[in-house]
Amino acid sequence: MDEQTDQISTDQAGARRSGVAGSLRASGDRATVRMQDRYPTHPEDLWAAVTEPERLARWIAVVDGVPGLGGTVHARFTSGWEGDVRVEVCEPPRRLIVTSAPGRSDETTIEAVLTRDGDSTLLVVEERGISLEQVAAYGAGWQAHIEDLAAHLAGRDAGGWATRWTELAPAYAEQAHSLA
Amino acid sequence: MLQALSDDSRRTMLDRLKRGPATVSELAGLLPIARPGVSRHLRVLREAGLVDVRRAAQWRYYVIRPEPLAELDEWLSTYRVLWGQRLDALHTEVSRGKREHRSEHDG
Repeated sequence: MDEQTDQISTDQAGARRSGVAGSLRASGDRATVRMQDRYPTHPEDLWAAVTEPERLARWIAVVDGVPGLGGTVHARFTSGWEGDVRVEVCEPPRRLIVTSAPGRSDETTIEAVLTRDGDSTLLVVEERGISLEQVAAYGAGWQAHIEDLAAHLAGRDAGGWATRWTELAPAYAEQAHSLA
Repeated sequence: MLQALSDDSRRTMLDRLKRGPATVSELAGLLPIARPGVSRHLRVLREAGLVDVRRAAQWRYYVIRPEPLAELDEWLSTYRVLWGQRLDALHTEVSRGKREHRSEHDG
């Protein structure tokens, strides 16, 4: 991730429920979605929420088995998509990189970076290798997912992203349009 | 379509979709049945034209289609007119009965 986009915007984190928290960028015919948010917990707890099957199931995906480094698991996401996910980098509680749908035309790379910041933890999620036609949907989808993560960490029910997705989709479609 | 509506689980799903789009997980969470059952109910609703599935990249969700319900409402409205007429007739009859009752007492 480059330095410029690594800068923390408190505006983005603070405007979570109302506005758009993510950004899109393109390189050639592939695009990247980047989300960042701050969670009122320590990195170990956030790491558990983004890696342990029991906790993943409560906000983003049902994963069969515990993935090890280099291992592949089958995941069924709340988005409705299911497929293989391979673990490329696993450095608890700081950095996780996985390949989604390895070897397929819709293969992408997802990276999560966790940084302690006082009593809270900053999470940056990037998904790279998305086709330009689909990147707007990924933008709305990822924002809905990280908001579901916030709900999960706060002990609320999560996974009902559909309404939020439809609210966010026009703003991300506009962002995607300006990439092209 | 009436057959699609004749099931509690499917009506529960429609009641939820009336309030906005929902994911399969959300709809499944409302019902005490397993996933294959949920999928089957959703297929019945889709085939009856009562719901639509929307797809955007990986994201899939369900929305309600009001058109068949509007048609049903229109069809039922002809019966409402019929019932309305009968009830009007009943009111007239009751009023006449009261009047006759009163005049008997007065007389």
